[in-house]
Amino acid sequence: MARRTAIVGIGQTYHCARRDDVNGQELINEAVTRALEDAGLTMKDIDAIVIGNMDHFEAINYVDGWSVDGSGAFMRPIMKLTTGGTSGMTVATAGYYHVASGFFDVVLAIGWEMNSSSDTTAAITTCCQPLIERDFFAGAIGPLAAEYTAYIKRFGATEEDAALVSVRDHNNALNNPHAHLRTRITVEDVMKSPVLCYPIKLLDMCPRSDGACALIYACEGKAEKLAPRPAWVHTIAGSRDFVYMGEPFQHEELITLERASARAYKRAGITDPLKEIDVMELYLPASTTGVKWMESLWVCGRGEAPRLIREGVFNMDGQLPVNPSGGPLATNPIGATAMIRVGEAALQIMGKAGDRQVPNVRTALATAFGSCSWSDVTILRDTKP
Amino acid sequence: MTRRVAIVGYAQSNHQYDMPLPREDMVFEVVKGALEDAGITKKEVDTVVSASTDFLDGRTISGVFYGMAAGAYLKDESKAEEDGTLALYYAFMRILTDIYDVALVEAHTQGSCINPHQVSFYMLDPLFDRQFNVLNDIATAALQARMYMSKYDVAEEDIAMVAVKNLANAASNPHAHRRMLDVTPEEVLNSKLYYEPIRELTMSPISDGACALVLASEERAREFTDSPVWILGAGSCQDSYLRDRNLHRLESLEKAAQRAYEMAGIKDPVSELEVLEVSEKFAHEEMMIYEALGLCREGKGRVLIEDGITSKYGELPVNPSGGALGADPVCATGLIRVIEAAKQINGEANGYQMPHACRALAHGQFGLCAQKNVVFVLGGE
Repeated sequence: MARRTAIVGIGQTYHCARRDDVNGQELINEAVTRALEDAGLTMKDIDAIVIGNMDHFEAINYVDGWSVDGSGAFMRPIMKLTTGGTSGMTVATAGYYHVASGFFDVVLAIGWEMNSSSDTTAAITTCCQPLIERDFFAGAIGPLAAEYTAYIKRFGATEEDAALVSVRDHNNALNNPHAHLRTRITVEDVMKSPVLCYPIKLLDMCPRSDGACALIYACEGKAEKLAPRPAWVHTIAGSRDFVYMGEPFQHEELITLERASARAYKRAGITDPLKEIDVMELYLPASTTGVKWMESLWVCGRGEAPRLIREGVFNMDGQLPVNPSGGPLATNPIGATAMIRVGEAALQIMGKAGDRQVPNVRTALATAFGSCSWSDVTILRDTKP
Repeated sequence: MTRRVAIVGYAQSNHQYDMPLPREDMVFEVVKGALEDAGITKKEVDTVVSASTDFLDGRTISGVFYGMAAGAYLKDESKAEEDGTLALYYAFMRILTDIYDVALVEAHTQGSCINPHQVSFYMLDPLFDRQFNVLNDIATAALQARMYMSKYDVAEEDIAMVAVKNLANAASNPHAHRRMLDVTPEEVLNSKLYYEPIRELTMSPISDGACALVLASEERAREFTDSPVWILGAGSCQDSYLRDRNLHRLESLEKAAQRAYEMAGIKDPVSELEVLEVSEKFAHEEMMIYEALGLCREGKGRVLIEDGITSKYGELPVNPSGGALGADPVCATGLIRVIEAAKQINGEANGYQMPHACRALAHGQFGLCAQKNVVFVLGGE
């Protein structure tokens, strides 16, 4: 049996476009120190560390090796993990498995990124197939634009539907002191912002940020002592696929997210996610995905998401608040982004989300998205699994 | 441990320079081989964990490209970077939780496409060490070798003997890259000098290669095979960064080994292990590894080589397969050691089979001067 495991500490740096005040090691340390403080621990209490980022985004390899003084990995087991944008949750998941397997009692998971050190879009472009795609599919925007164009065509969704998601997330971020972009915007602002790749406009797309996040996982027996209300991990499920970015892929659904969330719901005994989940922290790299992927999360039927969004179901005062923190549209230190989703979901369970707290959260869901190839889903609850 | 976990199948490529296969095909071949060896199809695999790094693969999010070749379609897949033994460690944890029963572990590197020594430059601290433009993995290993040599009075001839042993051992391993049955110490000492005292034959070659293995819970393992190789112990540890280390000792390996020995219930490794497969990326490191693993006292690694104790015919053979000096497809090297150790236990090491190998140790390392180390203790029925 998997050992019961909970999140007992969360630490985030402040995020912005360019953190000139710290180097990578110091940035990592900022998140680690805050997570330790949050759980009331010192580095001595940590049994193992997992860490991750996207190497090419900093033009640095082997962060676990040179950041020892920042991460605290001196004479400790450490593992580095990287997938795509999912990296943050890949690392968080590994942190969970380190504890759940029974090997370690208290584990520190770190996700970080200093996007300002390198050219993110140039780096992401190397992810494209070199002979066919690399010349015309630059960065992450193209595939997402293709995806939403197909969705518009099939279900009659509009650009304004995506703009509503953008407005929701950006305005939620005003309540989050850690968010990178904190400006009140309107649908009109989104519609008037410059087109990056039709139908995605500047305010529809996530920024790139410098920042880090750290989580502390603890086993049953210790977790209860470390946190008055630990966020118990009920399930983590992942799924992956392969996509040629240039191929007309997955226009109707994101199969990895469908599979991962279906698996997660089954394990957590959830049959009606709209009713049974209290808050969602979703990895939405573009506002358009905040429309389409609600269907992949089985929250509503195909083509129904635009209606729910127009009705405000996913707003802070709606039935199922999505991204109270503002999500990636407000803050996107890539290797940390997915971990922040898990951390924010945990904060909601623990009742420590401050101004962005949703009342009475008992079940929270976080997702991660990586290069159209990976989707991960984590479900946290205030009760033991 | 809540449940026992076994290795039930494995495969590796013929490691070589400039392999005439793209990376994805190389991965596909070994994954297919490992599944066939286990007698299963990819349907039975619950989760996949791979190891490689974006820098060594030469593209960002490199997992995108070989994931499908590793049979990960719609499965829960993850990528533990760096050495394959770390991926194995993670897959081991995944099975221990009961959530998954069968895992596939894969690791690969094509050194001929992206020179690992050039990439090692990007492992340096970006603000200081990288700016000097003088260090890389070979240069730092040279510093380590010199510190070790001067502290324990080790001569270049002693180091050459390690290379002679492993390169000659590699000759009987059809998968090895550098196979030199009749190599002499003189030849080693006269080989091309890179960073004094590191020479072409005292450092690992640049290899292309991949390997994969299938891991299963006890229940499933019994269904698949009559000869499962059990994971008895595992441990990993990392030392501090280059500047703050005792370079003449592998302290993180000492700690990783302690963990693995404790888990496996091993008190005296010399009498309780029959064969060892270690990742000596540089010949002098093998002697340091002996010491860290507790095979001899500190500074006495040289004696084991001189007396032939760790030779194929000695009391405690180390690297009968030729070790990392025989082939070094960087991220796969540690996992290949695990496979070689499992082969010894299963009696499948044709041409270099050690008699009565019931318990074996496999070691993987990563980083400058073996900063990070992973140890596995394996055992038969």
